[in-house]
Amino acid sequence: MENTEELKRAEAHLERAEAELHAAEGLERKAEHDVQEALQEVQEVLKPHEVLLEIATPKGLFEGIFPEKTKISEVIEIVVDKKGLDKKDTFELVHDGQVLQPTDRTLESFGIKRKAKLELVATGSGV
Amino acid sequence: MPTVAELTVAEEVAALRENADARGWQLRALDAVRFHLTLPAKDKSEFYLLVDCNGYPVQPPAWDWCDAAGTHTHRPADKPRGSGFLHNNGVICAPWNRLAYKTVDSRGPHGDWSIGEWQKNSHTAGCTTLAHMALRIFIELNGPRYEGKRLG
Repeated sequence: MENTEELKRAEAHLERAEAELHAAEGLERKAEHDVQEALQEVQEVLKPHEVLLEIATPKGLFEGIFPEKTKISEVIEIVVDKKGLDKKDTFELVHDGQVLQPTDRTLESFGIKRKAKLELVATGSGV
Repeated sequence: MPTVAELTVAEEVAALRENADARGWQLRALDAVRFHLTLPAKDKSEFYLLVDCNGYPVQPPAWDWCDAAGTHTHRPADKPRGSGFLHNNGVICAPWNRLAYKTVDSRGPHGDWSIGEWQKNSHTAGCTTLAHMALRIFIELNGPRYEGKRLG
């Protein structure tokens, strides 16, 4: 008797898990579709050899289109200026956890093409 | 009348929210001076922070690793492993984190820092807003010093 109850509970649990899995698969398909749509939009807006940068900064988000041959130092200078960051501080750009140095290299030389998410932070700021 | 901390948090959280929304980080306000933030690491694990800005900006906020619900702050499994900034005491080692001061928290690695001078500390290096602090933590969780979650 006890085993039957346990079995019923397990079956109900399994059904719920399957329903959740189906819902998650639906969300995943929608997310993939959204990504494809966004990529297509980017392709339509960008000219060849341009890159769309989405940069998280200490003063919120900065978005801008740059030529792939723009130097990292030039990107930093523009973003610091546009976001009104303190020019006394030294900033660095980070992509996928990697600090983009030396800053006289271009976006292209770091493999940054079409669309990229970067972070701008003050150099140091930790131990 | 709102406190200085409440006014400062209200102003600075706007920039943090902008970054969080763009990156899919979950930011949940708990009250006027406290919030819960979810940040992803490079191995796809998620880390949670309970941030207490009482007394901010006279004193730095307290950035404490916690669980998804924000109810536990002392479980090793909720903290990252790493070096330097991701200190093995389980606290973020930076002058802009109140918990890094031994005078505030026994886990704090620094008895040599003065909490009242946190903005002038050379290791703060301009990291004086909530959005900036969150970005620095995100970068550490996705950088070479991060070594995964601690074992429970």
